[in-house]
Amino acid sequence: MELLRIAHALDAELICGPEGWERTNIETVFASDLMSDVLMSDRDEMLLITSLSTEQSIRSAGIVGSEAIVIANNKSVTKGMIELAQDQDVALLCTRHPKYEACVRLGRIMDPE
Amino acid sequence: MSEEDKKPLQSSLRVQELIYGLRISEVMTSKVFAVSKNCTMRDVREIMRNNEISGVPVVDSKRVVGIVTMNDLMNALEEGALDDSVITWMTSEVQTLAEDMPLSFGISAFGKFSFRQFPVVNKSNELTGILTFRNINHALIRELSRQLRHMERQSENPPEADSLRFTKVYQLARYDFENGGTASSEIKKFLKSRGVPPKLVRRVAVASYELEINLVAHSIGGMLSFDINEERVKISSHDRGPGIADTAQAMTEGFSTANEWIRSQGFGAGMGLPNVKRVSDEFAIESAVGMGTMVQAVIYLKQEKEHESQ
Amino acid sequence: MKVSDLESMEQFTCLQPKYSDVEITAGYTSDLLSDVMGNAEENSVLITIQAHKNTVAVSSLAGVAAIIICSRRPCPDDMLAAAAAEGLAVFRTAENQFETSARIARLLGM
Repeated sequence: MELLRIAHALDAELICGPEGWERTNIETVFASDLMSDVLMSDRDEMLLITSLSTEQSIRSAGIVGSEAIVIANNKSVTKGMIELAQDQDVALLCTRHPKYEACVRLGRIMDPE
Repeated sequence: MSEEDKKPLQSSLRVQELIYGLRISEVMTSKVFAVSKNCTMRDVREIMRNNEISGVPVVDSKRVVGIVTMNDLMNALEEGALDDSVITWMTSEVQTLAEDMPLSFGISAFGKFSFRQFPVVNKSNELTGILTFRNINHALIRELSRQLRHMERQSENPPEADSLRFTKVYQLARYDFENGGTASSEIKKFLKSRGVPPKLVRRVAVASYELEINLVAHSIGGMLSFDINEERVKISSHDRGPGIADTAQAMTEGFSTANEWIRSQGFGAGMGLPNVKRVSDEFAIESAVGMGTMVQAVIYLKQEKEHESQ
Repeated sequence: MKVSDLESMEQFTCLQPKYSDVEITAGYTSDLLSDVMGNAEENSVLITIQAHKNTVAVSSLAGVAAIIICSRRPCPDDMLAAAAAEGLAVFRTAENQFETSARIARLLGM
């Protein structure tokens, strides 16, 4: 599924993203605030949803090769996070919805079964 | 690596790395002068005088039960008690080191305890050697000259081109979450730029990142070193303490000693070390309370040697 | 949906059955305890991988009705003991937080 459609479903705002981020294909959604958990995932074309708004969230997403990261719960994003996201070629988005609500919305359009 | 990358810091870290590579058994004096429980302080004086040593372990069927130091001998001399049994005058609370520990643990021990020598024991707890500062100095000089010879040989006959040849050491400070992850990012970029398959790059990045975070969150500080060639990536993590009491427990998923603050940073769920092991082809951990922890993770880069799960 | 309805589902294994069987009205997905404390609604089911006894303490304070531990994460005994003392149900599932959240929403008819 294209990242742009996901962004719409989440009412998410793009903070920064590589050229052509809208058409990035997302096959897997992973929701977690524990970075070791993120680091255990070995899926491709992944989107990470987290309410942990730290530089380490961006690093962890980058290390497992995530295409995009959505910061939930209306959390603010620091300059350092944006720089890291740019450096790691990860699209960074923010949504006002909590992580649960974000999962539910994506569950409706992506069918996690 | 280019010349300007060879900062003095990097080379001093290499010296530290040498210490980590050596085992106590390779450094200690194996010819130990020990006395049995029924020897007298006079016997100890003879041994010390004839062999220019300052501490003599007391053993009971090869087990260390105490040590007589120069200080103990002086005390006995003052009291004119040289014919007393060593049992009366020895220091019985003796700290021993295990012979297969990394030398770095021994160095931490010198910092932590005020002893001038440590009896070294094997797995059956039998005395096999003694470690002094002098041993450490000798070993370092020996290793440094060996490295120097190696470098000279290399400049005479440069090794075959290996596009992945890379070594680097990073220093990490306690609670420095800001910089935890810098090393992993750099290594990830390097491997990616050399065309290493993404799945392998990810495994290296995950192992090194977890180790970096462990150093930052759980140790009082330490270092992470990378030794990369076409065959494999070797990641070594060393810290100066506090050390892990039960490494088997630390390898259990869900076990963690993390405090609430570390948890609020998204870490400390007890998955770190198991995760490193999961992505590694070779994994080893050693630790001693008060002395430090050493973790080594190797990931093969050659297809035929790849991880089962790939 | 009541807490006991989760127990009858094959996806969920009940690890701590001494609970008060209240009506679940919402879901909340988080691994950050301060977030749970501040934002989880009363009578919601907490979807998390934070298998720790402090999760029980925070859930109890926030009025959470049940805890679901995702991704088959192991639950320490002291956590289950704390949950039993609080009368809070603890379930475990093989599904991850995304899948579980979507499932709970469907069960709640959302």
